[in-house]
Amino acid sequence: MRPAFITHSGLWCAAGGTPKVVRDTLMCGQAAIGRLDILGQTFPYGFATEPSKSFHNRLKEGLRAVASDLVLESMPTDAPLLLGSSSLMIGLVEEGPWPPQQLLPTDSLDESIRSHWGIANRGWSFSSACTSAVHALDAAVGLIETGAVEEALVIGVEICNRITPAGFAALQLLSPSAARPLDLERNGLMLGEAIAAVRLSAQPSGWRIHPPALALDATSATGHAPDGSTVAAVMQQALEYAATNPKELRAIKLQASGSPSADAVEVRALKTVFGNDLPPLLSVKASLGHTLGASGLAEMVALLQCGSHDFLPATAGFALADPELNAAPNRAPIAWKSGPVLFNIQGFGGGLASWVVERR
Amino acid sequence: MKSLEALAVELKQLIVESCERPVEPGSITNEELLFGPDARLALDSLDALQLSMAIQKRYGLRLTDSKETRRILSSVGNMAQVLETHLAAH
Repeated sequence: MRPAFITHSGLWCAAGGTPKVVRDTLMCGQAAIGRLDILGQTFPYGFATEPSKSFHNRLKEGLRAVASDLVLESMPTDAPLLLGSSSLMIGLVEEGPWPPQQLLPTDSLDESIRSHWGIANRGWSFSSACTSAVHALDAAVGLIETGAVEEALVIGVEICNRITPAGFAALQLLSPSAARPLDLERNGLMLGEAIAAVRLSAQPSGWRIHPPALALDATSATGHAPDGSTVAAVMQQALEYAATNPKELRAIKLQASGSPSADAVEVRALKTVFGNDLPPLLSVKASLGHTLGASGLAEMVALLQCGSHDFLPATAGFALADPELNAAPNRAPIAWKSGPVLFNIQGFGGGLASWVVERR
Repeated sequence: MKSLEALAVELKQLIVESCERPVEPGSITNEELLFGPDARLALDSLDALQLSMAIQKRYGLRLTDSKETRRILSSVGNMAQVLETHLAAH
Protein backbone atom coordinates (compact mmCIF):
# COMPACT_ATOMS: atom_id res chain seq x y z
CA MET A 1 0.00 0.00 0.00
CA ARG A 2 1.32 3.41 -0.89
CA PRO A 3 0.62 6.52 1.22
CA ALA A 4 -1.92 9.25 0.40
CA PHE A 5 -1.21 12.97 0.69
CA ILE A 6 -3.23 16.16 0.80
CA THR A 7 -1.98 18.57 -1.86
CA HIS A 8 -4.65 21.32 -1.91
CA SER A 9 -7.55 22.37 0.29
CA GLY A 10 -10.37 24.90 0.26
CA LEU A 11 -12.96 25.94 2.83
CA TRP A 12 -16.04 28.19 2.86
CA CYS A 13 -17.67 28.47 6.29
CA ALA A 14 -18.70 30.85 9.06
CA ALA A 15 -15.03 31.47 9.84
CA GLY A 16 -14.38 32.71 6.28
CA GLY A 17 -14.10 31.83 2.61
CA THR A 18 -10.34 32.07 2.05
CA PRO A 19 -7.48 30.38 3.92
CA LYS A 20 -6.26 33.71 5.26
CA VAL A 21 -9.64 34.80 6.62
CA VAL A 22 -10.29 31.36 8.17
CA ARG A 23 -6.83 31.45 9.75
CA ASP A 24 -7.26 34.98 11.06
CA THR A 25 -10.70 34.19 12.47
CA LEU A 26 -9.47 31.11 14.27
CA MET A 27 -6.37 32.93 15.48
CA CYS A 28 -8.33 35.79 17.02
CA GLY A 29 -11.21 33.76 18.37
CA GLN A 30 -14.82 33.41 17.41
CA ALA A 31 -16.53 34.04 14.07
CA ALA A 32 -19.48 36.42 13.74
CA ILE A 33 -22.32 34.01 14.41
CA GLY A 34 -25.86 34.78 13.19
CA ARG A 35 -29.26 33.64 14.41
CA LEU A 36 -31.69 31.27 12.73
CA ASP A 37 -35.44 31.30 13.45
CA ILE A 38 -36.81 27.79 13.85
CA LEU A 39 -40.13 26.66 15.33
CA GLY A 40 -40.74 30.02 17.00
CA GLN A 41 -37.32 30.14 18.63
CA THR A 42 -33.99 31.60 17.54
CA PHE A 43 -30.74 29.68 17.66
CA PRO A 44 -27.15 30.68 16.92
CA TYR A 45 -26.02 29.48 13.49
CA GLY A 46 -22.74 29.63 11.61
CA PHE A 47 -23.74 31.29 8.34
CA ALA A 48 -21.06 31.32 5.65
CA THR A 49 -22.86 34.10 3.75
CA GLU A 50 -25.90 36.38 3.97
CA PRO A 51 -28.76 34.43 5.57
CA SER A 52 -31.25 35.72 2.97
CA LYS A 53 -29.46 34.17 -0.03
CA SER A 54 -31.05 31.23 -1.83
CA PHE A 55 -29.70 27.67 -1.69
CA HIS A 56 -28.59 28.03 -5.29
CA ASN A 57 -26.60 31.18 -4.61
CA ARG A 58 -25.06 29.84 -1.39
CA LEU A 59 -23.90 26.71 -3.20
CA LYS A 60 -22.41 28.65 -6.10
CA GLU A 61 -20.70 31.14 -3.80
CA GLY A 62 -19.21 28.32 -1.72
CA LEU A 63 -18.03 26.37 -4.76
CA ARG A 64 -16.44 29.52 -6.20
CA ALA A 65 -14.63 30.18 -2.91
CA VAL A 66 -13.12 26.69 -2.55
CA ALA A 67 -12.36 26.25 -6.28
CA SER A 68 -9.79 29.02 -6.22
CA ASP A 69 -7.67 27.12 -3.68
CA LEU A 70 -8.00 23.72 -5.35
CA VAL A 71 -6.35 24.68 -8.68
CA LEU A 72 -8.91 22.53 -10.48
CA GLU A 73 -7.43 23.16 -13.90
CA SER A 74 -4.51 20.90 -12.97
CA MET A 75 -6.77 17.98 -11.90
CA PRO A 76 -6.49 14.92 -14.14
CA THR A 77 -9.87 14.19 -15.78
CA ASP A 78 -9.89 10.62 -14.48
CA ALA A 79 -9.60 11.79 -10.86
CA PRO A 80 -12.95 11.00 -9.19
CA LEU A 81 -15.04 13.32 -7.02
CA LEU A 82 -16.18 11.87 -3.69
CA LEU A 83 -18.86 13.89 -1.95
CA GLY A 84 -20.08 13.73 1.62
CA SER A 85 -23.24 15.54 2.70
CA SER A 86 -25.91 14.99 5.28
CA SER A 87 -28.60 17.20 3.76
CA LEU A 88 -27.51 17.03 0.08
CA MET A 89 -29.88 19.37 -1.84
CA ILE A 90 -32.72 19.50 0.68
CA GLY A 91 -32.44 23.30 0.71
CA LEU A 92 -33.29 23.39 -2.98
CA VAL A 93 -36.26 21.06 -2.45
CA GLU A 94 -37.50 23.37 0.34
CA GLU A 95 -37.53 26.31 -2.05
CA GLY A 96 -39.53 24.33 -4.64
CA PRO A 97 -43.20 23.33 -4.49
CA TRP A 98 -44.43 22.06 -1.15
CA PRO A 99 -45.08 19.24 -0.50
CA PRO A 100 -42.32 18.06 -2.86
CA GLN A 101 -43.69 16.27 -5.92
CA GLN A 102 -40.42 14.66 -6.90
CA LEU A 103 -37.28 13.54 -5.16
CA LEU A 104 -33.88 14.59 -6.34
CA PRO A 105 -31.60 11.61 -6.94
CA THR A 106 -28.91 11.25 -4.27
CA ASP A 107 -26.18 11.76 -6.85
CA SER A 108 -27.66 14.97 -8.30
CA LEU A 109 -25.38 17.12 -6.15
CA ASP A 110 -22.10 15.43 -7.08
CA GLU A 111 -23.18 15.29 -10.73
CA SER A 112 -24.06 18.99 -10.69
CA ILE A 113 -20.77 19.95 -9.03
CA ARG A 114 -18.71 17.88 -11.50
CA SER A 115 -20.57 19.46 -14.39
CA HIS A 116 -20.36 22.97 -12.87
CA TRP A 117 -16.60 22.69 -12.40
CA GLY A 118 -16.04 20.69 -15.61
CA ILE A 119 -14.02 18.04 -13.77
CA ALA A 120 -14.08 14.36 -12.82
CA ASN A 121 -15.91 11.94 -15.06
CA ARG A 122 -16.73 9.77 -12.04
CA GLY A 123 -18.38 10.64 -8.74
CA TRP A 124 -19.73 9.00 -5.63
CA SER A 125 -21.96 10.42 -2.89
CA PHE A 126 -21.88 9.46 0.77
CA SER A 127 -24.62 10.43 3.21
CA SER A 128 -24.18 9.02 6.71
CA ALA A 129 -25.06 12.00 8.94
CA CYS A 130 -22.04 13.66 10.59
CA THR A 131 -19.54 11.10 9.28
CA SER A 132 -20.54 11.64 5.61
CA ALA A 133 -17.43 13.53 4.49
CA VAL A 134 -15.14 11.17 6.41
CA HIS A 135 -16.65 8.22 4.54
CA ALA A 136 -15.88 10.06 1.29
CA LEU A 137 -12.37 10.74 2.58
CA ASP A 138 -11.92 7.07 3.51
CA ALA A 139 -12.95 5.92 0.04
CA ALA A 140 -10.56 8.40 -1.60
CA VAL A 141 -7.62 7.38 0.62
CA GLY A 142 -8.36 3.74 -0.22
CA LEU A 143 -8.43 4.43 -3.97
CA ILE A 144 -5.05 6.13 -3.77
CA GLU A 145 -3.43 3.64 -1.40
CA THR A 146 -4.44 0.69 -3.57
CA GLY A 147 -3.19 2.38 -6.73
CA ALA A 148 -6.67 2.60 -8.34
CA VAL A 149 -6.24 6.36 -8.94
CA GLU A 150 -3.41 8.88 -8.73
CA GLU A 151 -5.59 11.73 -7.48
CA ALA A 152 -9.04 12.23 -6.00
CA LEU A 153 -11.11 15.24 -5.00
CA VAL A 154 -13.11 14.98 -1.77
CA ILE A 155 -15.78 17.54 -0.95
CA GLY A 156 -18.07 18.00 2.04
CA VAL A 157 -21.19 20.10 1.51
CA GLU A 158 -23.71 21.26 4.07
CA ILE A 159 -25.83 24.22 3.00
CA CYS A 160 -28.19 26.06 5.34
CA ASN A 161 -31.76 24.77 5.18
CA ARG A 162 -34.72 24.66 7.56
CA ILE A 163 -35.52 20.95 7.85
CA THR A 164 -32.19 19.97 9.43
CA PRO A 165 -32.14 22.52 12.26
CA ALA A 166 -35.88 21.96 12.82
CA GLY A 167 -35.15 18.29 13.50
CA PHE A 168 -32.39 19.14 15.96
CA ALA A 169 -34.55 21.82 17.60
CA ALA A 170 -37.46 19.40 18.01
CA LEU A 171 -35.11 17.00 19.80
CA GLN A 172 -34.01 19.90 22.04
CA LEU A 173 -30.39 19.40 21.04
CA LEU A 174 -29.62 22.99 20.03
CA SER A 175 -28.03 25.55 22.29
CA PRO A 176 -30.01 28.79 22.58
CA SER A 177 -26.78 30.69 23.15
CA ALA A 178 -23.49 29.31 21.76
CA ALA A 179 -21.31 26.24 21.32
CA ARG A 180 -19.28 25.67 24.48
CA PRO A 181 -17.04 22.63 23.96
CA LEU A 182 -16.29 20.79 27.24
CA ASP A 183 -17.45 23.85 29.20
CA LEU A 184 -19.30 23.54 32.50
CA GLU A 185 -22.19 25.54 31.01
CA ARG A 186 -22.38 23.71 27.67
CA ASN A 187 -26.00 23.38 26.67
CA GLY A 188 -26.22 22.00 23.16
CA LEU A 189 -25.11 22.21 19.56
CA MET A 190 -24.71 25.24 17.33
CA LEU A 191 -25.16 24.26 13.68
CA GLY A 192 -23.45 25.83 10.69
CA GLU A 193 -22.95 25.53 6.94
CA ALA A 194 -19.76 24.79 5.03
CA ILE A 195 -18.23 23.58 1.82
CA ALA A 196 -14.81 22.02 2.32
CA ALA A 197 -12.64 20.18 -0.17
CA VAL A 198 -9.26 18.50 -0.40
CA ARG A 199 -7.27 17.13 -3.29
CA LEU A 200 -5.61 13.84 -2.40
CA SER A 201 -2.67 12.48 -4.35
CA ALA A 202 -0.14 9.68 -4.42
CA GLN A 203 2.49 12.39 -4.96
CA PRO A 204 4.15 13.38 -1.68
CA SER A 205 3.25 16.69 -0.05
CA GLY A 206 3.71 18.20 3.39
CA TRP A 207 0.52 16.52 4.68
CA ARG A 208 0.13 12.77 4.88
CA ILE A 209 -3.36 11.47 5.58
CA HIS A 210 -3.80 8.03 7.11
CA PRO A 211 -6.89 5.86 6.58
CA PRO A 212 -9.83 6.76 8.83
CA ALA A 213 -11.10 4.19 11.31
CA LEU A 214 -14.88 4.03 10.92
CA ALA A 215 -17.55 2.29 12.97
CA LEU A 216 -21.22 2.23 13.85
CA ASP A 217 -22.30 2.05 17.48
CA ALA A 218 -25.88 0.81 17.83
CA THR A 219 -26.18 1.70 21.53
CA SER A 220 -28.96 4.21 20.86
CA ALA A 221 -30.55 6.18 18.03
CA THR A 222 -28.68 9.35 18.90
CA GLY A 223 -25.59 8.68 21.00
CA HIS A 224 -22.76 6.29 21.67
CA ALA A 225 -21.91 3.87 24.49
CA PRO A 226 -21.98 6.08 27.62
CA ASP A 227 -18.72 4.60 28.95
CA GLY A 228 -16.91 5.85 25.84
CA SER A 229 -15.72 2.34 24.93
CA THR A 230 -16.74 2.47 21.25
CA VAL A 231 -15.31 5.96 20.73
CA ALA A 232 -12.08 4.77 22.39
CA ALA A 233 -11.87 1.67 20.18
CA VAL A 234 -12.14 3.79 17.02
CA MET A 235 -9.48 6.25 18.21
CA GLN A 236 -7.20 3.32 19.08
CA GLN A 237 -7.72 1.81 15.64
CA ALA A 238 -6.91 5.11 13.90
CA LEU A 239 -3.66 5.35 15.87
CA GLU A 240 -2.82 1.78 14.83
CA TYR A 241 -3.61 2.51 11.15
CA ALA A 242 -1.17 5.43 11.34
CA ALA A 243 1.36 3.52 13.47
CA THR A 244 1.36 6.58 15.73
CA ASN A 245 2.59 6.52 19.29
CA PRO A 246 -0.05 8.43 21.34
CA LYS A 247 2.75 10.40 23.01
CA GLU A 248 3.75 11.85 19.62
CA LEU A 249 0.34 13.46 19.00
CA ARG A 250 0.56 17.23 18.75
CA ALA A 251 -3.15 17.53 19.49
CA ILE A 252 -6.57 15.91 19.17
CA LYS A 253 -9.29 17.70 17.25
CA LEU A 254 -12.32 16.68 19.26
CA GLN A 255 -15.90 16.19 18.19
CA ALA A 256 -16.75 18.35 21.27
CA SER A 257 -19.89 19.98 19.97
CA GLY A 258 -20.98 21.38 23.35
CA SER A 259 -23.48 18.58 23.94
CA PRO A 260 -23.77 17.83 27.69
CA SER A 261 -23.79 14.06 27.19
CA ALA A 262 -21.71 13.52 24.02
CA ASP A 263 -18.80 15.66 25.28
CA ALA A 264 -18.71 13.55 28.45
CA VAL A 265 -18.64 10.31 26.40
CA GLU A 266 -15.74 11.62 24.33
CA VAL A 267 -13.73 12.58 27.44
CA ARG A 268 -14.30 9.11 28.95
CA ALA A 269 -13.00 7.62 25.70
CA LEU A 270 -9.94 9.90 25.75
CA LYS A 271 -9.09 8.75 29.27
CA THR A 272 -9.47 5.11 28.21
CA VAL A 273 -6.95 5.59 25.41
CA PHE A 274 -4.55 8.12 26.94
CA GLY A 275 -5.08 7.80 30.69
CA ASN A 276 -4.77 11.10 32.54
CA ASP A 277 -1.87 12.24 30.36
CA LEU A 278 -4.04 13.73 27.62
CA PRO A 279 -2.54 15.34 24.51
CA PRO A 280 -3.66 18.96 23.88
CA LEU A 281 -7.37 18.98 23.02
CA LEU A 282 -9.14 21.42 20.72
CA SER A 283 -12.49 22.09 19.10
CA VAL A 284 -13.42 24.55 16.34
CA LYS A 285 -17.20 24.19 16.59
CA ALA A 286 -17.69 27.57 18.27
CA SER A 287 -16.14 29.21 15.20
CA LEU A 288 -17.56 27.08 12.37
CA GLY A 289 -20.71 25.70 13.97
CA HIS A 290 -21.37 21.98 13.70
CA THR A 291 -21.42 21.54 9.94
CA LEU A 292 -22.83 18.01 10.17
CA GLY A 293 -22.04 15.94 7.06
CA ALA A 294 -19.28 18.34 6.04
CA SER A 295 -17.80 18.67 9.52
CA GLY A 296 -15.05 16.05 9.26
CA LEU A 297 -13.59 17.72 6.22
CA ALA A 298 -14.39 21.34 7.20
CA GLU A 299 -12.71 21.04 10.60
CA MET A 300 -9.70 19.25 9.14
CA VAL A 301 -9.23 21.89 6.42
CA ALA A 302 -9.61 24.70 8.98
CA LEU A 303 -6.74 23.18 10.96
CA LEU A 304 -4.63 22.54 7.86
CA GLN A 305 -4.97 26.21 6.98
CA CYS A 306 -3.75 27.14 10.46
CA GLY A 307 -1.10 24.42 10.36
CA SER A 308 0.32 25.82 7.14
CA HIS A 309 1.23 28.81 9.34
CA ASP A 310 2.61 26.52 12.06
CA PHE A 311 -0.17 26.81 14.63
CA LEU A 312 -3.33 25.17 15.89
CA PRO A 313 -5.92 27.61 17.23
CA ALA A 314 -7.17 28.05 20.78
CA THR A 315 -10.62 26.60 21.47
CA ALA A 316 -13.22 29.34 21.26
CA GLY A 317 -16.32 29.04 23.43
CA PHE A 318 -14.59 27.43 26.40
CA ALA A 319 -14.43 29.40 29.66
CA LEU A 320 -15.27 27.25 32.70
CA ALA A 321 -13.85 23.80 33.34
CA ASP A 322 -16.33 21.05 34.19
CA PRO A 323 -15.05 19.25 37.30
CA GLU A 324 -16.91 16.09 36.28
CA LEU A 325 -15.01 15.95 32.99
CA ASN A 326 -11.67 16.97 34.45
CA ALA A 327 -10.43 17.80 30.93
CA ALA A 328 -10.08 21.16 29.23
CA PRO A 329 -9.34 22.18 25.65
CA ASN A 330 -6.41 24.41 24.79
CA ARG A 331 -6.96 28.07 25.60
CA ALA A 332 -3.99 29.35 23.62
CA PRO A 333 -2.64 28.46 20.17
CA ILE A 334 -0.36 25.40 19.93
CA ALA A 335 2.58 25.01 17.55
CA TRP A 336 2.07 22.51 14.69
CA LYS A 337 5.29 22.49 12.69
CA SER A 338 5.48 18.74 12.31
CA GLY A 339 3.97 15.54 13.66
CA PRO A 340 0.56 13.91 13.82
CA VAL A 341 -2.84 15.26 14.88
CA LEU A 342 -5.78 12.95 15.60
CA PHE A 343 -9.24 13.94 14.32
CA ASN A 344 -12.50 12.69 15.88
CA ILE A 345 -16.05 12.77 14.59
CA GLN A 346 -18.94 11.26 16.55
CA GLY A 347 -22.08 11.18 14.45
CA PHE A 348 -25.80 11.15 15.05
CA GLY A 349 -27.16 7.63 14.62
CA GLY A 350 -24.03 5.97 15.95
CA GLY A 351 -21.45 6.86 13.28
CA LEU A 352 -17.86 7.16 14.50
CA ALA A 353 -14.69 8.22 12.74
CA SER A 354 -11.09 8.94 13.77
CA TRP A 355 -8.06 9.52 11.60
CA VAL A 356 -4.56 10.92 11.71
CA VAL A 357 -3.07 13.71 9.58
CA GLU A 358 0.67 14.08 9.82
CA ARG A 359 2.61 17.23 9.02
CA ARG A 360 5.96 16.25 7.48
CA MET B 1 -55.03 29.56 -22.25
CA LYS B 2 -51.79 31.55 -22.45
CA SER B 3 -50.18 32.23 -25.80
CA LEU B 4 -46.70 31.01 -26.56
CA GLU B 5 -45.45 34.59 -26.47
CA ALA B 6 -47.05 35.26 -23.06
CA LEU B 7 -45.41 32.10 -21.69
CA ALA B 8 -42.06 33.16 -23.15
CA VAL B 9 -42.31 36.55 -21.41
CA GLU B 10 -43.05 34.84 -18.07
CA LEU B 11 -40.22 32.35 -18.55
CA LYS B 12 -37.67 35.08 -19.25
CA GLN B 13 -38.64 36.76 -15.98
CA LEU B 14 -38.43 33.40 -14.18
CA ILE B 15 -34.95 32.67 -15.57
CA VAL B 16 -33.58 36.05 -14.51
CA GLU B 17 -35.12 35.77 -11.04
CA SER B 18 -34.36 32.12 -10.25
CA CYS B 19 -30.84 32.09 -11.70
CA GLU B 20 -30.18 35.64 -10.47
CA ARG B 21 -28.65 37.00 -13.66
CA PRO B 22 -28.19 40.78 -14.03
CA VAL B 23 -29.88 41.05 -17.44
CA GLU B 24 -33.12 42.64 -18.65
CA PRO B 25 -35.61 39.76 -19.19
CA GLY B 26 -36.84 41.36 -22.42
CA SER B 27 -33.33 41.20 -23.88
CA ILE B 28 -33.42 37.37 -23.95
CA THR B 29 -34.60 36.09 -27.31
CA ASN B 30 -36.71 32.95 -27.71
CA GLU B 31 -34.01 31.18 -29.73
CA GLU B 32 -31.00 32.27 -27.66
CA LEU B 33 -29.02 29.35 -26.18
CA LEU B 34 -29.03 29.68 -22.41
CA PHE B 35 -26.49 27.07 -21.26
CA GLY B 36 -22.76 26.67 -21.69
CA PRO B 37 -19.73 28.94 -21.42
CA ASP B 38 -20.40 30.49 -24.85
CA ALA B 39 -24.00 31.46 -24.02
CA ARG B 40 -24.62 35.06 -22.93
CA LEU B 41 -26.30 33.97 -19.67
CA ALA B 42 -23.85 31.04 -19.30
CA LEU B 43 -26.28 28.97 -17.22
CA ASP B 44 -24.84 25.72 -15.86
CA SER B 45 -25.91 22.49 -14.19
CA LEU B 46 -26.69 24.16 -10.87
CA ASP B 47 -28.83 26.78 -12.65
CA ALA B 48 -30.63 23.95 -14.48
CA LEU B 49 -31.67 22.38 -11.18
CA GLN B 50 -32.77 25.74 -9.82
CA LEU B 51 -34.74 26.56 -12.98
CA SER B 52 -36.43 23.14 -13.17
CA MET B 53 -37.55 23.55 -9.54
CA ALA B 54 -38.89 27.04 -10.29
CA ILE B 55 -40.83 25.76 -13.34
CA GLN B 56 -42.28 22.91 -11.29
CA LYS B 57 -43.33 25.27 -8.53
CA ARG B 58 -44.98 27.75 -10.87
CA TYR B 59 -46.50 25.53 -13.57
CA GLY B 60 -46.57 22.06 -12.01
CA LEU B 61 -44.39 20.66 -14.80
CA ARG B 62 -42.03 17.95 -13.52
CA LEU B 63 -38.80 17.57 -15.43
CA THR B 64 -37.49 14.16 -14.44
CA ASP B 65 -35.37 12.90 -17.33
CA SER B 66 -32.03 14.70 -17.23
CA LYS B 67 -31.36 14.52 -20.99
CA GLU B 68 -34.88 15.66 -21.82
CA THR B 69 -34.56 18.42 -19.20
CA ARG B 70 -31.37 19.64 -20.86
CA ARG B 71 -33.13 19.79 -24.23
CA ILE B 72 -36.21 21.55 -22.87
CA LEU B 73 -34.23 24.16 -20.92
CA SER B 74 -31.85 24.91 -23.78
CA SER B 75 -33.89 27.94 -24.95
CA VAL B 76 -36.93 29.97 -23.95
CA GLY B 77 -38.69 28.86 -27.16
CA ASN B 78 -38.32 25.16 -26.27
CA MET B 79 -39.51 25.75 -22.72
CA ALA B 80 -42.56 27.72 -23.87
CA GLN B 81 -43.62 24.99 -26.33
CA VAL B 82 -43.35 22.21 -23.75
CA LEU B 83 -45.19 24.32 -21.20
CA GLU B 84 -48.00 25.15 -23.63
CA THR B 85 -48.54 21.41 -24.26
CA HIS B 86 -48.38 20.67 -20.52
CA LEU B 87 -50.85 23.42 -19.59
CA ALA B 88 -53.28 22.41 -22.34
CA ALA B 89 -53.37 18.87 -20.92
CA HIS B 90 -53.90 19.94 -17.28
